[in-house]
Amino acid sequence: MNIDSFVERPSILSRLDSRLKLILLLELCALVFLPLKTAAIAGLAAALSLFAASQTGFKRASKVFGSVLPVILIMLVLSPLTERAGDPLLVLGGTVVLTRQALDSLLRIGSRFLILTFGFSLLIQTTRQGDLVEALVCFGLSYKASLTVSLILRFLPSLSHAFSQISESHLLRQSKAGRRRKIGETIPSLISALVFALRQIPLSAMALEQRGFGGSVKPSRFHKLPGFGSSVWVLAAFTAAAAAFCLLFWK
Amino acid sequence: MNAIEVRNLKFKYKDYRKDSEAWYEPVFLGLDLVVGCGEHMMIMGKAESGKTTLCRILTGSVPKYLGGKLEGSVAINGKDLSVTQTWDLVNDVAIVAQNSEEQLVCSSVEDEAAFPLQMMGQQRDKMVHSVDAALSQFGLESRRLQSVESLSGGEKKRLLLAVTKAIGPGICLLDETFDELDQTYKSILADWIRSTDRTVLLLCSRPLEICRGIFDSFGILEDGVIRSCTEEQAFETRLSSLPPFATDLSQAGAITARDLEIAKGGEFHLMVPSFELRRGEVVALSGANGSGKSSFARALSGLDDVLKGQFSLEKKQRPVEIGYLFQNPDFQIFLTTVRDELEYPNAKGKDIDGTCSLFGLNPDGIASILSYPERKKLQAAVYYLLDRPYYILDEMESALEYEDCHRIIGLLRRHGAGVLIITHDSRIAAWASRRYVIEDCVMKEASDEH
Repeated sequence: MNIDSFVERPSILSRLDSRLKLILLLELCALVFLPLKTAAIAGLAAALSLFAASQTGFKRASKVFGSVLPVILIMLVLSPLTERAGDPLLVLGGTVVLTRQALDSLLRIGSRFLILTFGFSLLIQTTRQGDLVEALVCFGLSYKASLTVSLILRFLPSLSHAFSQISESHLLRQSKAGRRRKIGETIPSLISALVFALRQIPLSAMALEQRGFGGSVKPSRFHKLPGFGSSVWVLAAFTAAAAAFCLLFWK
Repeated sequence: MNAIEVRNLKFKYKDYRKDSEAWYEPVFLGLDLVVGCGEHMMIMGKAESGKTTLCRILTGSVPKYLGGKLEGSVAINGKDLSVTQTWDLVNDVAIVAQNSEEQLVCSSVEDEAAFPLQMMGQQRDKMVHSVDAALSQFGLESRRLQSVESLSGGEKKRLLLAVTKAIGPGICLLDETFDELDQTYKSILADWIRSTDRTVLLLCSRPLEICRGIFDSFGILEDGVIRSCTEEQAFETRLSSLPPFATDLSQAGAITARDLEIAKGGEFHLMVPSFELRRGEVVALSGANGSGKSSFARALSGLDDVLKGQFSLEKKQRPVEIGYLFQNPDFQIFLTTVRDELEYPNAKGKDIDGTCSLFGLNPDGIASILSYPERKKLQAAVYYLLDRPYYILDEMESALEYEDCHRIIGLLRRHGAGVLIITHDSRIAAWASRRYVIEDCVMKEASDEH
């Protein structure tokens, strides 16, 4: 999953209550795992991708898409091999290469993966850390546990940033211009990012303690969530739309 | 009661490369340090003399997190650190770390400043006031909702200063804090030190003229101990007159850029009407924090695209022609030992031991636990072996002494490379034959009186 930091950009989602966004995300997660028609799930994935681009910008949305693309490509290669049964769609030299069921399965899993990735990315990119903590507290998590969750989410984009910087550093050490990098050559970058992440553990722990984290004082709140108010109507509208969607496209 | 009282401090790091009880050479050999309440003290020390380790010991973070054996006594505002937890010192001592990346824990600028206040249980109204005042003093008010990742190196340091100001601790530990700040914020920091009644301990490897007259006491950290000295002695110890680099145009070639437009989100829009770096010359680039110096360097070295404009070299050619030393060395060091790092991606024909000797590195040292200045030297050594015709040094001076910076630039241009130095230090900029400045979103060549 690719998660990027908060994007300061006026958008519909950035104006929504963080608690509402958490509930909507849970509803979305439930929706994609219901037995709906494959075309409906694929359509939902496409619509969500476009919505993400409108909320956080095309560049960020394509970055999120780019990060899940390798996984989708792996599925594309492996699905025809693992799903052998069903109506043949493509036959080469007497061997069934692709079946209708394999294509269906590929579309279904790929779309679900995309919906979940965009759903979580949108939550993180349009919600400030403090608001997310407050929302988690509202749902019964302790303040420290909520803070820990939000800190973990904050470090994932840092690692993603570190990985891209390290990859650039590898690129700068090349001796020949424009050489296409082999897949195996990303392994040093991945290992380097892992080393970087491991090195961050004691340093982050130090930083947190130096800021008073871990003490016995009850933390106060900087962010204050407003009343749920009109969010109830947004929630009701989304839930109704989701229910209608299920009824229309139930398999 | 003294603010800081360190008696007979002996400390050495554990050597994790070996199974048995093995230790590195001791960092401190019976160090004594007493700083009174409200006193402003500056400690000068060479790279790797233990300045960062001392700061971490004074906050109770070492040896707790990085291992090591500590003897002697350390007290902060009368609290014995051997029985006090780091989180209980948040009101007493705050540190502005040398490497800002290590200390940032939140996603937005505002959250970062508010985080310690929340941990201290401060009332919301007071918190809002403190955060507003701190962000405003360090020029981050307009960036308060932005992601911490989007800040430049200097802006991250300003954020750490704002966090310290918001906490308002009794003691402020400033580890090479003037580095990476532009002239405006160097002055603001100097004024703040001059006017504050809090205890301030600044540790640095290069004395800056702006620090004159704002400290009450001085010390030199050397050979594992601190000896007191006068202001003049502290400045004289580290200052030496280093000559500018002579231009040698015997090697033909130049990289030029025309009519560039570079943008980063909504943060800035930099215009570069004309830029040239010839082989054999040293050119400096200065500008305010966040003005686009690193973004220009990234575009020049072919890592990022520009909105408009032309370069004399193709984008795919630039990464192999230009050795770009990032501001943060941690993104360019990733293998286990110094030797592994220098051998990557190809060891053929490389004189690793000779290079280590030139850069003062131990070839068997563990790269990830080197000190910050050593990591900077290793980063330079890697590019020394790559022997590029052009180099960009992005605030390389941070945590290094003038002599080291001068020597490293000299080594990199041994075969007539052209070097672009990005710096906030006017002494270092004076080594260059030409200078570019970024003012009002435009990069232009500075005249002599600049």
